[in-house]
Amino acid sequence: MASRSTASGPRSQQNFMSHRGYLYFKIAFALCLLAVIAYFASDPTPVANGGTVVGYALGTISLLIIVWLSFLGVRKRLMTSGKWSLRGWTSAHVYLGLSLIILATLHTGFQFGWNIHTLAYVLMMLVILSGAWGLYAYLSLPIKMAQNRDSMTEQEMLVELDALDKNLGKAALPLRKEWVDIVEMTIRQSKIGGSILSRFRRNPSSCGTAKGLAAFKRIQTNLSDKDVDLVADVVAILERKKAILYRIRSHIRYRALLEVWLSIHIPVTFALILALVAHVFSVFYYW
Amino acid sequence: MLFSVTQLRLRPGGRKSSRILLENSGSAIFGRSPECDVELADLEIGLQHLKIYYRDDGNLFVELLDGRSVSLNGRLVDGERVPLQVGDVLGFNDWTITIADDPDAGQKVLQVERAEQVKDPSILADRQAAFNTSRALPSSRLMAWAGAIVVTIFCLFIPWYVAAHDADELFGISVENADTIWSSGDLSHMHANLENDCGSCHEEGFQSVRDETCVSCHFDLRNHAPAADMAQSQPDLSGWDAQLQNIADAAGRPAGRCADCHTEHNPRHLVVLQDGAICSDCHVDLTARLPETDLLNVSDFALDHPQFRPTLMQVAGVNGPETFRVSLDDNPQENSGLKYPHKLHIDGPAVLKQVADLGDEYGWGDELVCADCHTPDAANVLFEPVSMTENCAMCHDLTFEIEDDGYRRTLRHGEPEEVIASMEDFYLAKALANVREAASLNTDRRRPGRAAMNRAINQREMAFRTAGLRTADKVAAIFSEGGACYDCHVITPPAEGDDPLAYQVEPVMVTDRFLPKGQFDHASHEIGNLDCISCHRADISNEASDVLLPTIESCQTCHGGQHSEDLLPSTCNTCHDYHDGPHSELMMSADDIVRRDIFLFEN
Repeated sequence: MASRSTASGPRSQQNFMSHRGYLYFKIAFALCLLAVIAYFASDPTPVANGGTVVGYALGTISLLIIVWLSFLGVRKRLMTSGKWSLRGWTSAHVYLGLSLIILATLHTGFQFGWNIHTLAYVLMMLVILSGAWGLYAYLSLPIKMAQNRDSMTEQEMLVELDALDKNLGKAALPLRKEWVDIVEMTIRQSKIGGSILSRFRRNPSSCGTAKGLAAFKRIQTNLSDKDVDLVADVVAILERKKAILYRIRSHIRYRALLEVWLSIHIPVTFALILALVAHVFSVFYYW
Repeated sequence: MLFSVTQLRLRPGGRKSSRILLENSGSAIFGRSPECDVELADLEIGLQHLKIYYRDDGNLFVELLDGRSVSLNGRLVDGERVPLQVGDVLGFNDWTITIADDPDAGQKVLQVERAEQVKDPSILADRQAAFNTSRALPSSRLMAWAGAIVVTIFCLFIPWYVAAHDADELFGISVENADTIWSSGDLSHMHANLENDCGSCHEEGFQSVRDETCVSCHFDLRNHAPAADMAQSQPDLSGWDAQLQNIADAAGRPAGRCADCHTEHNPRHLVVLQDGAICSDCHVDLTARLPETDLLNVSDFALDHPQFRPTLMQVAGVNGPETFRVSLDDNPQENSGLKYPHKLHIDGPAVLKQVADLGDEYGWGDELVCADCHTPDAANVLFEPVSMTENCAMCHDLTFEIEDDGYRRTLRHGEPEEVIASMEDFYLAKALANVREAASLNTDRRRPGRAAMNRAINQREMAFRTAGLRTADKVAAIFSEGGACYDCHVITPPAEGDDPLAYQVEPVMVTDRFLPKGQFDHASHEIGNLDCISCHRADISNEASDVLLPTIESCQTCHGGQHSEDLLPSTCNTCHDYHDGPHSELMMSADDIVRRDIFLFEN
């Protein structure tokens, strides 16, 4: 007979999404349900907008949630546990953040325009969508990253790349000048990292290794007996280098996918908070 | 002559170690090719970079082979062969070859050394940084500050400055209408000219738009009802609604503001509120709160609307009518002062005969139809007044005498005293003409004298008396049954002993609008097979006092309440207007309206 703890699964398998039996999902869902009911049950005059009773209520709740959500950045730097653990806090952050899609959209009454109010809405949606991406990345990418790294560390990948470059240097020593130039090009131009866009490319067309490998494969078709083995060595090393470069670039790409959303999520949050100040101020100034 | 080649390496601690690469040789080729005597692992140098050898004369020489360059003691060597001395230093790429003496071995030693390869620390750091995404991104902190500052300046500070100071410029830069970024939506077409001028309505910051601001332009709008009545009619709020109203009051938004009904910055057609709830808030039980009102309670056209109560004439007085309102359910009778049986004019035999006789001349069909007398007004909303001369005179001839030569003597319509006077004149003139004619025909000579004079006087007296009697008869005839006036008018004959000619015609007024508190557009109801008779049952009306209006049930066959799904949803505004309008002056007293809209029957 299975014990109670076994039936509910080991605690370590829970993540912040299912924290405390999806407590915050339930809260957020209930909040959205209430909002939808209030929206459709009310009879706004003349048409749904942020200035009706339901509109003001939804706006106030949304504002409070946004302010609270933005304190995750402060909260995560404090170490606590138990009821108000960071995991619980994150769980609430995710679900309440997603609930804003419904709460704030209903608050707009589906009226949009080129104004501060819609700007605040767009900024909020940017924050939410970037956060949703971050959520997806946190839940799905670490497994792919681990498969890609194949238990290598970042340092080990770099060491292997360096070793291959050294081997290339040795293998190229007996080669004639123009081939040496190609080898040097593969060493110099096989860049990793770089600009944010290049970090998303696993097979960049500018990769020196890929170009050099292609060049040596062309060279291989027409070789004197003396050079066949020499070039074959270089090609073999370039093949290995191409593989490790692919792995490194995949790793860089996963890291970029994992991290880039934050550089939208955080700065836009600050812009959003100021836009909300302007939104609220303007609404009551031009009441 | 021979030499040896050693390689010096710098060891940790600064000590140099030496390794022999070549011994007892008279010639050595240095290069990266494995076939060289001294193989140097450096892709930057030539396969066979240079050669150092003893010439037969015992001098040591260096010769550049396929290397790019070599320097001797820091100066580039351009000759093919250059002699070397002890202490010379050859240099190429990272490499140096120092010519030294080995006294023990009694020969020269070529010390090959590679310059310390200084690794650029930034390259190493870049390698590590390749994994660090944030290195490729602008600083989050910087972006956060930038975004927050941009939003604060352009969305908060500048609009506020423009709004608070009514400014067009800030630091010499045009910021005209910068506060329109605060607008939550377009204005209605009527207010489109104010789109860029927020302050024209929002006069004070943090203050709702006030009625005085609206009225400063809309000064000719009438109020819905006297302010005291309006206040008294407001529903008593309780619970949640009362709390909301308390908050609104505290926030400077009392009930009954213009903006309660006229909200801007919403989809454009919504500036005039159509919701019946706005009206029914007060009107659903108005009689309880405003007992002196003569209005009835109403909340929905289909579910809770009283029967139509047309404003009818009791007496069509000379100085304006006396009117009353009565429900169509209470068999209303009107007194316009006219006798006009509609049915008789549609299918009465005498009328049909007249139509047959005169139809071609006046463009009638086989029978009279409504449009033969009732002409739509210019707006095709209501009808032009019916006119005696235009619509009745072709049949209702006012001839009272036909002269011998066939000339028809007719009466002036609309002025009974003039009618009697002109008949009197006519018959008197006739009598005098007869006297004169008789005198001129009498050619017998008579003796002058008193008797003759008396006879003449007697003849005139006789003629006057006859004319008087004749006039009385004729006047009595037109004002009595069968007479031209009596057919259509209500006549009061002279009382016993009064002047026998003192007949009175009751004043006539015809109602133009029976339901002045609603607006009805005939043109928009010209649909399907609806004709006049569908709503106005003239075909069965035998009395002019019949009120030929459709009941509310007739309207309700097509018009439903505000939330009707199977009928045309109709709100209060469909028929009524809160302020006023071209065909509805809800705010005016019934007397005002009726005085304006009821006019004397035209001649």
